Amino acid sequence: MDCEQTARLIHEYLDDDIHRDDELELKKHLLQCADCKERFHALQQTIALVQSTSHIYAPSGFTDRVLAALPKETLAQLVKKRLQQHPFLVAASLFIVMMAGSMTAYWHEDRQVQLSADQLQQLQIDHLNNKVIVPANSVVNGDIVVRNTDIAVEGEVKGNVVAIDGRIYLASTGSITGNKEEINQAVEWVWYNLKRVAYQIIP
Amino acid sequence: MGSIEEKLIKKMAKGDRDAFAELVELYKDKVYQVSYRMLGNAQEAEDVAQETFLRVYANIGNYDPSYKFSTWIYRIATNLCIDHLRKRKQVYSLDKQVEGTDGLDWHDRLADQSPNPEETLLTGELQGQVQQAIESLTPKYRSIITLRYIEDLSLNEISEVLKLPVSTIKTRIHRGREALRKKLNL
Repeated sequence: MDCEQTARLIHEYLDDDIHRDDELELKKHLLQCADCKERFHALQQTIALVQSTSHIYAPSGFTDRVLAALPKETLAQLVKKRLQQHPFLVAASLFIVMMAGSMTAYWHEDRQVQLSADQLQQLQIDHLNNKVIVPANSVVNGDIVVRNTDIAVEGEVKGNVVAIDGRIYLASTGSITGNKEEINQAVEWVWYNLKRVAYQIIP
Repeated sequence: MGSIEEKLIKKMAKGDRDAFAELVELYKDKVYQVSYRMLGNAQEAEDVAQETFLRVYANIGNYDPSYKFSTWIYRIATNLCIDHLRKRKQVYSLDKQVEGTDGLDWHDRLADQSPNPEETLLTGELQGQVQQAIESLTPKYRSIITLRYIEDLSLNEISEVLKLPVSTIKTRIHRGREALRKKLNL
């Protein structure tokens, strides 16, 4: 084995990439050849020196300077970030806002006053206070149903009085022979709308 | 490196800057060290290291997870260093007046290449000799020696970083070692 071949084997050895047979050959040659042995040691020393160079660390504040050099976040990116961080919250709040919106819209749609009774001529309507009055000393035969208004009973009603979204005020002079019922439609409206949305989502 | 790093990369791909900051913290020393060994100058090393991370941020979508993340970031850093050295090599007349200035020539604008007192103190004489020996290599050998002996990468990893066959890496590392030995008078 000549010295040129040995040089190749030395490098293979240093790369930890040498055949076992070659390694034995190399060791044999190094025992015989002083030049190759010196070269081998010199290369090992070279590697040790390069490896021993102290490690260099990034200067302080490096990360902050990198972050400061990033392109500014656009509004769209910020919104997107929020959406990605809290997808459930966003979906839930969006749902609530839309529900509330649609419900108030429907709620206000038919706020007009409705009144049904068998003997309308007996009743007085107080537009100013949004109130239907059964005057004192009058007698109404049959049921009275009012919607979106209050009713004050000062006379006598021979039947039921129902107030949908309104109050029934019974004066001391008044009397109702049938049932007296106040229905708050808001709860039913919520229920109705929930069902409506549910049916739209689930075909 | 495993799952923490993977999670950070996924978050970062979605534009999470906190995840990016953590990734910078993890890799800043490696990237800065490679840049410094390649360029031999603290200011230029910081510029290139910073640019490396900005590229990582902008191109995270192109990262191929079948490679190690460190491989990808080393590739960006070494390519930027080599580009930087190439630009530096372009010949300018230093006596030429800088456009748009009154009597200012390129001597005034040139970065001081000599190590600053802090660097000298840190590196010491032997360290300085080693750094000089590394800098005396041409960039193609310098990058390989740095990755192999300072960053401790395997030959296969270096081949992935530089997109060169392992046989080429071997040849260059042999020649690089010989050149360093001569420079260090060993």
